[in-house]
Amino acid sequence: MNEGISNRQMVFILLLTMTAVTIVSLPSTMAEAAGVGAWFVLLIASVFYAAAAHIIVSLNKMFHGEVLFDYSARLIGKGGACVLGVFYLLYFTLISSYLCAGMANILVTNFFVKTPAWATILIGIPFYAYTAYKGITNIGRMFEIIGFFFIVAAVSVHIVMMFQGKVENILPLFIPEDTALYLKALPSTIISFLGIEVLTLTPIASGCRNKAPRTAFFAVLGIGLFYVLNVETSVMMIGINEVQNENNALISAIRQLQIPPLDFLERLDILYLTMGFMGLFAAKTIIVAAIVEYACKLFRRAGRVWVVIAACAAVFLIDLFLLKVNRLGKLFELFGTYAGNLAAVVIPAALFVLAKVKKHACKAG
Amino acid sequence: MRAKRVKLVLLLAAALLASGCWDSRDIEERNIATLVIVDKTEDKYSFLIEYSKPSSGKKNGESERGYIFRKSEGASLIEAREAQDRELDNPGYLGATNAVIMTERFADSGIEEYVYRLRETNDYRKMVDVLITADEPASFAEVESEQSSVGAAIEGTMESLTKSGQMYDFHLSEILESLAGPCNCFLLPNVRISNNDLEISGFSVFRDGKRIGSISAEDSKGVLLLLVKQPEMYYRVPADGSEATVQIRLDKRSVQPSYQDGTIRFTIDCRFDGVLSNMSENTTVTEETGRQIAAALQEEIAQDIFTAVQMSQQTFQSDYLDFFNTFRIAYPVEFRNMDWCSEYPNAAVTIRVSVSLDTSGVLDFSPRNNF
Repeated sequence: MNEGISNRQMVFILLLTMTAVTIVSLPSTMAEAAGVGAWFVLLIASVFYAAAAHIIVSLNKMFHGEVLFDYSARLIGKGGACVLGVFYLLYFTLISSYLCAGMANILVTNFFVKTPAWATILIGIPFYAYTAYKGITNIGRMFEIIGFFFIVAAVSVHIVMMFQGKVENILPLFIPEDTALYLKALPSTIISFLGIEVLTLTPIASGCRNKAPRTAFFAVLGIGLFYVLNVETSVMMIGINEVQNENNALISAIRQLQIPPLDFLERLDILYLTMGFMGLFAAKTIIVAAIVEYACKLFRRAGRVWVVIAACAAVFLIDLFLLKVNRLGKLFELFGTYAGNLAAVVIPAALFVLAKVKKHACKAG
Repeated sequence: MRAKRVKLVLLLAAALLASGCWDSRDIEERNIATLVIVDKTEDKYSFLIEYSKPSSGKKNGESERGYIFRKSEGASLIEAREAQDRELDNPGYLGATNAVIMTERFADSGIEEYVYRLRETNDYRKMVDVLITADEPASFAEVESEQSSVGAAIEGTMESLTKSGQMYDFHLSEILESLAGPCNCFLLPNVRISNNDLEISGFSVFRDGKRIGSISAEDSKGVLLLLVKQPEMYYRVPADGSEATVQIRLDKRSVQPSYQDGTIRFTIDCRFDGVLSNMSENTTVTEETGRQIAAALQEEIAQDIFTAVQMSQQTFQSDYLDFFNTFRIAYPVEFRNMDWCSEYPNAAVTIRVSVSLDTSGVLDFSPRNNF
């Protein structure tokens, strides 16, 4: 079932998973933290997380056909692998709830004011279950299709925003006296770059191994540039001060677009509703698949169907429960800062060093 | 393999269509607002809202007006709004509102709360036009406009003025931006009923969310020259014992700030293209006459800009002309550390105007006489 994914599929998986929810609130978060220098902070962060993605994919390349749970058993023993497996299982479950809360928040606040949140969660569950059952390779193919539509729609909208927005809103581009403020703003970007950890469960297809780490690196850099485009164009449309008052700044900015030839589509945010939500559903799909994959590794004797059913039922119930938690977004930001970096950077980096040391020791011995 | 892909595409297409209609309602069962007029008397707030009647048209051979006005009152904005909802046979829909008009009485007491209400109201478009009126709200309901909406007429007027370079883009979104900004000063266009017709008549000046005065249409030429992206207007200037009517169009405008020894200075540089439209008398336009017209034009335009700047600095002490933006970009740290509202009235402003006048192609009576 796990034949591996191609490099193109990996790029789209990264794009949709990383941009899923954060893209909507990123302009306000970054404007608040770094003001007009948001682009600089995002670029620095993207280099850091691009390096992290490079490390994860290098590990996948080193242990061909295996994923983190498999090669960690070889590097730190079965007990250690189980601990990591449980950690990633719980981590992805919380990520799933965060995505779900984000999705419900955007939907209920901006589009379907009267639709109960549980309905928006429930409608996707069978879809997630089916795709998770089919495995990561099929998900990769699905991401390829969705990712294409998403990127065409998103880039087109941002280009229109660039033409209709006010350039003076993003000027001056850099204030040298604020360099310390920009560096302090780096933690605010963490949540936007989480998502690279899904690469821990995506084996690379045999024909793509050599170029995979480099592709992952440039994909994350590209996503960083996409974030810059997102933040700058939203600020151009709304203004650096008002953007901080808008939790869903991207949607607000899109709502201000006016394209006379598309007069019939006066509310262009509908475009986000379709394309953006396709991306959001895709991200949730791969996170549920991650939960299923780790659960299958941990409970090897259970049949995949039963694991999928149990995982999706658990996801639905936990989503429902966490939706009631006040300020989940803020709590998750705190959680993401530590657990997210542990999952995306620290654990893969430690395993990478260990793998290199063992390889060197084997050669020497 | 191909069949699987087709299935996947169909599944995704179905997902697009299934993007939920939990609270869907037929358009016939909604009251679609096209104009909202908000007013405040001593102890009450009131809304006068124009709704479209989707099912209107010809009834028994007679044409029925497609729009109706509904009035409601309350001790607060929310009570007035609730009273409005109680009057309606179907739920209201604000997403198609063409314009929001606030009375001067209401604007004098502050528009912040209402504007923030609009921001939070999911239906409202951020690009809705917001205007101020000194007229009574009821007078808008009396404007005769057969089948068309007063709200749409206002939006149409604003749009055509903007397109012809006689008004600048300023909507709800820009008000929110100004209120959140460090300057918090802006202008909103005034609208009045004149001879049973709508007319844009100058601007209302806002500072800290409250209306602090008005600029008449006659005095707003300079404001338009500074704020409109590409202003176009007519000037009538004396030339060689006659009067010349010239159409001017902005070619380039730059505002250069400088900050030395605690003094803020701005140099406004405007370059216009002028086309001589006509002379008041049957006369030949010589090169010398052309120079005279250009000089008189430069002086008059500079005077209009000077009046606009002086009014903002001295009469209203409010930077609604957006000088702060150019200063903020050039001196971000200094700007952050100063109280712009108190510094702006003391800024020194130099105005330079040049006009490149085109007298060719205009009626020149001599050739016709000679022909």
